[in-house]
Amino acid sequence: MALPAHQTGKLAVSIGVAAATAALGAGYSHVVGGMPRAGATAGFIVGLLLSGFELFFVQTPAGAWLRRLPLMLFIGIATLVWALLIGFSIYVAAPLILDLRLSDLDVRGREASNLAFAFGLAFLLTFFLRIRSLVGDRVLFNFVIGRYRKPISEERVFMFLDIADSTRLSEQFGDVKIQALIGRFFFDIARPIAEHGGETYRYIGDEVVVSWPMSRAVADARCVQCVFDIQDVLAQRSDEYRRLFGVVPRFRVGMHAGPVVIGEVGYSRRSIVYFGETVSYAVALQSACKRVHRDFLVSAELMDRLESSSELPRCFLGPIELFPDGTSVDAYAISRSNSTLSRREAL
Amino acid sequence: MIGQRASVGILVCIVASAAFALLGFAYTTLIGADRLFGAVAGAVIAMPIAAFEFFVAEGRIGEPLRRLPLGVMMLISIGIWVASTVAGILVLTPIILDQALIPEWLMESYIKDGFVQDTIFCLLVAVLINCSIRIHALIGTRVLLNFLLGRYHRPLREQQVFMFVDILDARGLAHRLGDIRAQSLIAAVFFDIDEVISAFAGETHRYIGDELVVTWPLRRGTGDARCVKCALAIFALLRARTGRYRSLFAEAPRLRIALHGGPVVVSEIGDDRREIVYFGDTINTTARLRTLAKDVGRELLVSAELLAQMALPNDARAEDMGSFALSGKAQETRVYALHPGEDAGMPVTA
Repeated sequence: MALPAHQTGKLAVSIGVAAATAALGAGYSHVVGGMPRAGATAGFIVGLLLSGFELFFVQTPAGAWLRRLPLMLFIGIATLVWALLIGFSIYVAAPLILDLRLSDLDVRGREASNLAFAFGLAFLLTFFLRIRSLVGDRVLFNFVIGRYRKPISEERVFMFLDIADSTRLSEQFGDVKIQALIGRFFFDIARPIAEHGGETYRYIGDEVVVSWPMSRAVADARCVQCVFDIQDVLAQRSDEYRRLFGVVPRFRVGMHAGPVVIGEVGYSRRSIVYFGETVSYAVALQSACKRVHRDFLVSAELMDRLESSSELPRCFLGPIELFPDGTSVDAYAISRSNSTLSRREAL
Repeated sequence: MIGQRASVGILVCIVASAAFALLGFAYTTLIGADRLFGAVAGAVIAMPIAAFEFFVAEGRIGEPLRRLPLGVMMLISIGIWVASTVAGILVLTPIILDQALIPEWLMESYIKDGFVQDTIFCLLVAVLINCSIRIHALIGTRVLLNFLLGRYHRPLREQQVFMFVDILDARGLAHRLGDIRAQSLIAAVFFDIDEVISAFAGETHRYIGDELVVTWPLRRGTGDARCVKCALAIFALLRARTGRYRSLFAEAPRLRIALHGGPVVVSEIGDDRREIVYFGDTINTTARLRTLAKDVGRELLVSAELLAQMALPNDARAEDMGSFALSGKAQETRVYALHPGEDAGMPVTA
């Protein structure tokens, strides 16, 4: 059976991790005077099982229920699973494979501390993996290497996506309920965004800000495909939304590209901020959606750089006024209105 | 006399020592080694680490350290942790317990048997705890705690004070200094006022371009008029550093601050990138108040609603600005401008 590209990638990561943990296991059992062969085997199985659990369960739609739990519960469950998998690999799988008895393992009466070691490590690592999501991988990496310590200029694509009529909806359904709806919607669309290489920058009320490095966004027009996928996800789950919240949300998108200055600010809440006209233009395009009665606006500047842009269901709108001082940009509206999807999206 | 922060720091060191003494005791019990040694070593290791983290990494003298890239700061910090661990086990604890510098049991069985494993364990714990401490700076203590407890897992209605801090004429700054230098200036200002915000128990919610959003739970923000004192202290700090900004950037930034409080819905949002967001009219009103501050040319505006909930500090005076339509609704909000009194000098560290 042929696997899709991203599955193959995950498998490669899994095997890479397993190879690394096998080396670690061999080294470890060598220094503590154990059996390097057993250490390597156990290490390989541990790496395979743990990365398999993370990549093929936690990070997939099947693991969505787990990711939706409060963080503490999520960490607790993940730690338990990790510890069980580690224990299974060391004391069951590896001896079975190598046809050893437990007494052959020569653990020198340190089983208790070995287990405590495994548990402690499992907890710390899963804790680290989970709270990573509070910062974002790329952001974390850039903080660690200090990439934006001194502000630098980069070409990026910005997408502002907001829920249409959220004020009216909260008056109708109650603000707590609509906030729950927004939470659910942003949870559901996180996957299509990540799969299209988008970096969720932040959430502002009923709005999400996503950005792409220029080259990644324009290849195969991925930033636009991302919005199509979000529309599809919403269409697929419209019945669920109607059942849970009584309404299916509609959303509006503004997209623009250009140079931005990126810098780190603050200490007690260190953040990366984007600064420059490109960001304000993307925001303004998104607010213009309502005025021109379109759901998805892309500036001509970005459209011209997208690969195979002529194949997109686009419509040139000409200059659209963005700011009170009369500043305007040429923009396209994108709409797959002839498909059944858009009609089902309507409230 | 010892300041409040110093006494908190000493308490933190003692608690950390006690916790690690217990951990050391448990660990040596588990591996069947000298328990007294474990407990003493735990305490001796934790004390300097806690002192470093609290008084240097988070303290005033650690400012140059905090300006380093996070990765470099982590390496320095892990280095200190490891040095303290090694010195604690091999030198300090034996001296305290009046044992030979490297005790016999350590020499005979331990080095051969468990030393490697324990060292690896200590190193990994040091690295992971260190990563978590540094990451907590990216998230904020209260936010991290609320995520762990799942407090806003379901949306919750809460009373909060909001403070919007805005750099005046950021577009003009970018025009005159160039984008990159303007951003450096903004980063320097936000770094400097961070200390003031923490001193007044404010929580930096987020930075949005040239704007900073700070929150307090309503009672904490109005108690002792903390939010107002914080805003006044920010202006005082900026005035004191005008010369420094001028010499570095040829220009001193000016700020506008708006304060308002009321009910908001607080909620956790996102999947692979999680955040806590606030939602509600209170935020829109604060944002409009900040725009109004620019229009009427006042540094600090406070809504009457919020001002009514606290006693104005002695060194501040309020100016009635009249009523404005701020919250999307028909009803108007009365607005006051606050000014520092005669004796407003350097910021007071609370």
